[in-house]
Amino acid sequence: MNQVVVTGVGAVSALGVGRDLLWMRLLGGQSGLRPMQRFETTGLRNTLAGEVPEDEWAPLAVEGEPRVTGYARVAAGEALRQSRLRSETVRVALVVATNFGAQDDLWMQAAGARRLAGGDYGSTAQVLAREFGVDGPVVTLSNACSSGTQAVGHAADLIRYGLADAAIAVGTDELGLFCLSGLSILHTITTDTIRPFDVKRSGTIFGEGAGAVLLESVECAAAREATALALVLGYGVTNNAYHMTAPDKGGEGMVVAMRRALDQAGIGPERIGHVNAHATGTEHHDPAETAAVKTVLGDHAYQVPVSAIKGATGHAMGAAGALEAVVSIMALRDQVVPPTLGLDEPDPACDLDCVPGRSRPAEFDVVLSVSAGLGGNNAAVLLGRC
Amino acid sequence: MAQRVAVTGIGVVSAVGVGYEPFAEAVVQGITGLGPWSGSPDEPLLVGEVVGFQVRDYLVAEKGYLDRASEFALAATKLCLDQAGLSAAPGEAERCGIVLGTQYGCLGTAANYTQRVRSRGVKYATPLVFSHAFVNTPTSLISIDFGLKGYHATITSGAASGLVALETALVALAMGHADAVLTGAVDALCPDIVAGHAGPLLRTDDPDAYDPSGDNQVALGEGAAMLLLETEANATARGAEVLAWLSLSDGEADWYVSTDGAATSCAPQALYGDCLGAAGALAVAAAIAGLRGGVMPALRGGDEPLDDRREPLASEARTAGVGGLTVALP
Repeated sequence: MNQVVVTGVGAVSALGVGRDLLWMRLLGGQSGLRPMQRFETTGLRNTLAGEVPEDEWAPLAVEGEPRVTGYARVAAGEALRQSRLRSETVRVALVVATNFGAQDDLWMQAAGARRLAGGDYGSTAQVLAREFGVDGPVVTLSNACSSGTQAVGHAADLIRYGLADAAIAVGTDELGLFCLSGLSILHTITTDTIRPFDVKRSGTIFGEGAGAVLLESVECAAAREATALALVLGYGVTNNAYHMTAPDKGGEGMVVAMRRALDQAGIGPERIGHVNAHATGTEHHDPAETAAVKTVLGDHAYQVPVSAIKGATGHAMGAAGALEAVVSIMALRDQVVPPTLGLDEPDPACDLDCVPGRSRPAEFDVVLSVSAGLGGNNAAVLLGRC
Repeated sequence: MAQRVAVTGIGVVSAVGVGYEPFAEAVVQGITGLGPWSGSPDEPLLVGEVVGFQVRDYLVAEKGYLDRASEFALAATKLCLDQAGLSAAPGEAERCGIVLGTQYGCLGTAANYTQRVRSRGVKYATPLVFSHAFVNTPTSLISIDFGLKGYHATITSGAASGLVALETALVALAMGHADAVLTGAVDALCPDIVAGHAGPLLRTDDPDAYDPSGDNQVALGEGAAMLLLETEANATARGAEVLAWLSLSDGEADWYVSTDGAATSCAPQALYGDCLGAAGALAVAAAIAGLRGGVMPALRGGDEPLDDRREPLASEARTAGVGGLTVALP
């Protein structure tokens, strides 16, 4: 089976435009959560969100282009530049993942072609495929907030199967009234702030942006003497088949997703040296994820440092898993575990080695990055050190 | 590395029939399901609308609310499993998955939800309606109702969604993520889709004029097609009847089915309309119907009535090409 490596990453997030700003500010303990600037917040449970900083985004914005497309375009462009891949020389696939697409741009338009274009989630992929000369499979996934992780895994599968030599995986989403109103009324949003694994956690804070990962077969990377940043070892996807909005409190679906990733990677759980958790800061999710990690890793779970970056970026929905993959790849490179902002008083029900407000140096070869979402979606991806 | 998988169930909701058998009969006989759209009484548009459909006839669990796309997807899934003689996907729930394609998902519900929030304020947002407004709501509902705990994906790749969903299911099976995958696609007409469609829409004045060759007026359609795909080993182990084999195309087939009106042998959407993201999955179902019925259905072009635009298949014809997929008789 083709081995898959990462040769480029890109990011747009509440911590800034570009992977280096994301990483530097994350390690520096900065939060990207601020009172929302773009929206009327009357009626929402919280005015806080992880908006992409407007001063950094405005120079890159294209008039008339939905932010969900723009974020993906900029993140994918950064990943491609880092990889130095020329798409005309190899078969390239594109996997775009989004939770809500351009729903909000959509409803700002009068009924007609522009409104309908916003309702077509595949339109972002069409823009990126044209811009980057993609000539292989073009796929748009929408699996709620696990979409970004699944994009990385599916892109790797397209390479493993032989349908492409390289693939761009992008998770992207923009904040808007459609998602904020619905997630507010579902009480997924806290009235406080996001506190992953904390005893006082009471819900999440949403964010936006895009994460992009450029993957290629190890042969493709070697032939063009590209620098491999990480290995994509395996991934797994499951559904709780339980409820549209309620989490599976036992975390069984996450367990199976993690085990599927280990099976595809052909490694045991003892190889996992760091977990980038989904950890939304909601009452039921965080202990369920803790239980799932303990079920899969056994006693080894207590030896593994765990991070939840949503405390700094907000929960970037369909972009979250892709941004967390980007962060995991940089953590592997620098051998440092990023901090979990908002974690002040650990919940005994979340008794893993959760790394609080400061980053921690560590030695590890494999990161497990986990995502979950409404509709019972779960995804897990294993990334390895080169 | 093209690996074939078994098609062991087919469920269809379409303008030419609900259930695979009536759909297949219509495709083979060249019976059209096009008619005036009930959503535009003042402007008579010719569409492939699913009429006389009652979702309660197909539900396995009571529902408080469903978008029309979710209704079609749930019904097509039930019909697919019924045809396969199953009440749930075969085997261990964690090894059974779903890959569903859709271009617009629950756009009709999303429109109603957003209109309410924008006009009346956030406090009038309805959690139930919000959770039924996602593009992936139909996929989640199917997983819940039929206990599919394995591989899971919603593909929303525009008009290609159906074909990309089937391709994704094939890759998932080949990569060992599942032993069985329910796959297919759905889209349902709603006012925003009709109002925003890029090309001119066909009116009821001349129903025989529809020729989906790409540069003419379009008759939009709606519906769903679901296929139960299994690895050869899984199908063999449980003694399932194989209706057809499906694989990623190796470039050769005895005849070809169009999904987008491009120049090719036949275009069954002439019978049931351009079903948006569901087109590819319906085309695969039509290809299976044609192969099994010995007829190349709904040949494109010409002034002849639709029911004369058919051609018997040569006895040696065993395969049909649909986009990047090859369908083969067992």
